[in-house]
Amino acid sequence: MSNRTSHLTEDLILMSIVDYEDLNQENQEHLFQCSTCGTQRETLLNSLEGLGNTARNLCPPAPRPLNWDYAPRPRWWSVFSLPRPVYALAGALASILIALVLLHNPQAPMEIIPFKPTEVSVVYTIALDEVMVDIEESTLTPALMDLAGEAYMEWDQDFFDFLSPGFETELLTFGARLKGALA
Amino acid sequence: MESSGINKETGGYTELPICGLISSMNPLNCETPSSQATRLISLVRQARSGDRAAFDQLVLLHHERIFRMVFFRTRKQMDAEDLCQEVFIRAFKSLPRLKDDSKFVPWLFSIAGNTVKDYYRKKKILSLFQSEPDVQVNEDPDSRQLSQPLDHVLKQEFWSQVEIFSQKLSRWEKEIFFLRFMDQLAIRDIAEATGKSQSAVKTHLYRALEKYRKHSGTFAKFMEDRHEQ
Repeated sequence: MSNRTSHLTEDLILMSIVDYEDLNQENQEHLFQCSTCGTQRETLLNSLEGLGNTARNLCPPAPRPLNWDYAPRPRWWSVFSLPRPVYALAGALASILIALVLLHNPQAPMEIIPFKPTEVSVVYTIALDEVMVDIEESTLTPALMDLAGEAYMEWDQDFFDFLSPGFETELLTFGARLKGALA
Repeated sequence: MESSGINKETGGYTELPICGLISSMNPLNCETPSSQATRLISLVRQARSGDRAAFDQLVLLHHERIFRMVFFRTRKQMDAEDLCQEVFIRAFKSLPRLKDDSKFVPWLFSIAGNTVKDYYRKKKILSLFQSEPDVQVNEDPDSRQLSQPLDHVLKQEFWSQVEIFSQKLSRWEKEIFFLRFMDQLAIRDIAEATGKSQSAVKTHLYRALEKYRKHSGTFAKFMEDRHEQ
């Protein structure tokens, strides 16, 4: 027979709902004998039971489950369904391997091959020719040059040759220089 | 009392009898709890060794519980159906990794919990690419087809009350409260399913119950109204 005079606190009633065995012997006896505490506990338990029952009643019916007798048997490619950490680990290992291979086989530094002077000269000539063609093509017609207030001049071949010496001129100049050198 | 799984003598939930869950599907008669456990363990063992029929039996036994568990968390019938199938597919694939056959039920619930978590994670990522918010967040599309509109309204009202209450709980308080009082799992099974200690489970449950006590009036009123209907 429980000899306690006060009722169980609300905390103890909650504790009894969480796990009845957690109450000590005296409180268990009191709960068994005291109608006030018993009613309090019963009300809360009924409410929780009602909540669960209502939720289950309002839940739609479960669909028909799969028939596992016809489920496909696992194949070799089922390894791809391994847990994600395995993929992460494999990725990390692959990265480390690639890094090691690259560190042990460093790429040779790129060799810088200087241009030969003749090549530079050819490039220069071609570039200059292109500029001259542009100038020639974009020359205004005499009428438009008059409108623009610029005097029209006849094509000065000597001046053009001076700016961009042709191959023949170059050859002649080279021959003259060679001749002088030999002399 | 046994039918709801609650035991008012001890204040705890008892294990649901298997025959109660699948009375329409299982030709076997009701068994005692110990024989149920033994039978469940032997089914798990057979399924682990590749017996499809045994796994089929396991699906039949737990399908409805898992579907309800998923539905309570998603509130969408179509999604719950898909996720329920996914849970069993995952279970089928990872059954060889189950160490203790007697812990099949909490193991299955932990898979279901992770599947729901993945569902919400995917949904969150997809919502980043959506210009308009998802308008059917807590709406069960099939509920519109109910012949009784009042029932539909009551249903909506109930789930909105559950949602309001859930928002007052922390993540773990909500999960453990649901597992205990809606999915009817025992404390030790909840501890197994969540990977927490039993004392941690009890602490979360105690805190959730404290909050529930303040909110229980709303549910009581709702259930009275529903009873009157």
